Amino acid sequence: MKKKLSCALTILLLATTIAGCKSPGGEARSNADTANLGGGAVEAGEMEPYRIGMITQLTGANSYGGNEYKMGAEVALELIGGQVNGRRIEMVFADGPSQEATIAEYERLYNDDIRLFVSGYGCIADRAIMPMSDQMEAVYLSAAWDADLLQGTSDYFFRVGANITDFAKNVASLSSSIGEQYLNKKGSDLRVAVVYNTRLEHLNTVVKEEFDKEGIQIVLDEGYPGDIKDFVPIITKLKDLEYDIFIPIQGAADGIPFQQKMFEMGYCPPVTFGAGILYDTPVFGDLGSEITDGVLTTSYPTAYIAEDGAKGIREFREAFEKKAGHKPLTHALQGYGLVQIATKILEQVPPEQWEDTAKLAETTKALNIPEGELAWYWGVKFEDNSNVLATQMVANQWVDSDCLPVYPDNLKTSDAKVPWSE
Amino acid sequence: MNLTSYIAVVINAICVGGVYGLTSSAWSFQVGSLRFANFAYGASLMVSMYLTYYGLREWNLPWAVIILMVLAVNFLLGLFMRKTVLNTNERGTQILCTTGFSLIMINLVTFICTAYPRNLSLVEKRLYLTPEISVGAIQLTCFVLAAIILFSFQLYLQKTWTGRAIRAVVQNRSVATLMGINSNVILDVAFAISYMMIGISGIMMMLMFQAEPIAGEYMQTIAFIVCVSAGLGSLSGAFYTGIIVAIVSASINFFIGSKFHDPLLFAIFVIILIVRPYGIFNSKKNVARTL
Repeated sequence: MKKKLSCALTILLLATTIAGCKSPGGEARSNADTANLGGGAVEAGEMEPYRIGMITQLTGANSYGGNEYKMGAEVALELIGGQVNGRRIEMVFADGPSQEATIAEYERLYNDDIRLFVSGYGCIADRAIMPMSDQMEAVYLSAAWDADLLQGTSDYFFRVGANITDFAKNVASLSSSIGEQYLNKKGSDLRVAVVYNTRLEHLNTVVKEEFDKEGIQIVLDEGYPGDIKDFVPIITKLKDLEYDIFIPIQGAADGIPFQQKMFEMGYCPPVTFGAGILYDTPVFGDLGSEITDGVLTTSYPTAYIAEDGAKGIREFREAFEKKAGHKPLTHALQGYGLVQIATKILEQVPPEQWEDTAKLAETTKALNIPEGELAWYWGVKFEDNSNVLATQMVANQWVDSDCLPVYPDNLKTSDAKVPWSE
Repeated sequence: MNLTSYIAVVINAICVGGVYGLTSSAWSFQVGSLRFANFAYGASLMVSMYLTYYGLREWNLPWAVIILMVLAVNFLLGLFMRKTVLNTNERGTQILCTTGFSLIMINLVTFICTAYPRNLSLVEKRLYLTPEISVGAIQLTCFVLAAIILFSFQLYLQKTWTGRAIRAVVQNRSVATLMGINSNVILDVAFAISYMMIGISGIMMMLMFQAEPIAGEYMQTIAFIVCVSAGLGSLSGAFYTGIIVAIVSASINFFIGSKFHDPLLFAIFVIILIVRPYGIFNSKKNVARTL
């Protein structure tokens, strides 16, 4: 009996291990996860479709963001008719729920002759891919925001998205603006309380540096490990403190119970200014307007910025809502923007030369797209492979479970009401 | 920071600590009394949390059914573990097998439910003792229930035939067998009952916090600190130590900062081990097999 049971357990273990080994990218492979809007077989004389790779988190903890990236990329392809200058474009998606899986998929797609890649959600392996892209001569458009993403020079790897330093600068400068405009307090008189998950220490460190530069006082700098369950001591400390703006830097796993506990304890900070991550997602909105109304947040440009602020934002929004059946997250706009940039690169090179990756890389380096030209608002201009036109963040305010842009003037759709209670 | 605020924090911590204590008592019983090194404890707790969540939010089952379901699943899980991964007296093998089983459970849950946290979205009412001091109604209820359950379990062990048989087997298995007690069956039942306590703890944890596949790892760490500090096998000691650990945790977070929570808590734990290696609630003479 014991032997039979042991055998059965061993077989079960082996089966689950094999299933687990199969899943990263396996589904993508077996489903031939390719968005091809040209349709039909390649006709005689027609060039082979050009394929762009995206490895994103289609399964696992961040699959909601990963799938938003994928859908955003698909919408980008749909809106250009699936072709650039007469040659068909295909997106090839692969699942990268972990760093190891992402790198494995990157190598697999490279071996499948894909030479132009865009980041997936989380950009979890971009730092590792950076040196690889030069060795493998594959152009990689990265949305990663790590401060040390770019190690030395590169011919093929480009930071297209925002830098964490710019994000942190926005947190500090917007806090200062909130203080001056709404609270009649200059930077040096402003007091902020920062509460953050130590997993996001890298963001908090930069935010603190920027607060120092603005002369803003940090009266509470409370980091907590991710496995903390009881937030009552931290919230009690906040209640006892005199400060102007509460700045939470949290993910969904800790931010949601934190906000719930604050609400249960009947405590509402004077002004809450969430530093992105959780605070500009529908997951936060799902807490209900009793909790979320009035909360300010800073984020990348969202899909709900003013229509005349960014070309094609309304078309993107409508196409996405029609395709996905829900409103696009900021992540979807990021996926869309990345593919837009990829197609802009291809537009400037004759289709028969797209296989010349060095030419694509040169074209990428020389890109000069002004702000507002792309749906995600950011422009593209590279200095030392880093995009210097991806610095503008937006501030939003939650009103009736909607996250409305309230800053800057050219992108806002609403005016902020601060403090909310007055 | 003022005294009133600190008192509020301590009262809250006592309620949370009661649940820690119940959770840890079950593990103390398994490890200290029954001598099973079960490192799938945290994962089992996490599974109970998920069952509670799904029962309430996805399947819309009534509470009575959810409780029965969780208790039944845990009872069977306990029996299953006794027949498989814990069917050995070798401590090293127990640790390895249960750790492996824990990994299987965590990854299965991640695969089926994803790693996204699950929250019951319960808004807890606050009971105000004074205008400044309040305690959560759910937390207070869980604390009272935890104390009742533990007290009931102690009564069960002292007053019922099965309970006395369990104590006899724990004290001396060979003699108990000679007295006509089927020691293996009694150990199976005792272990399965301790798993039911894990199930109840899981329900309480789900009411107070949120579930994610790694939720059990933190509780396993807390249970380890609590049980070893209290003295393995001391159920009431584990309950009181759970409360003490929760108060110490809250005090560290309140006065010093949450960033220092883990290093300070573990430092205190190490000091306790050095000063009283047999546990706070165990005397030197009566190590490891108290019930």
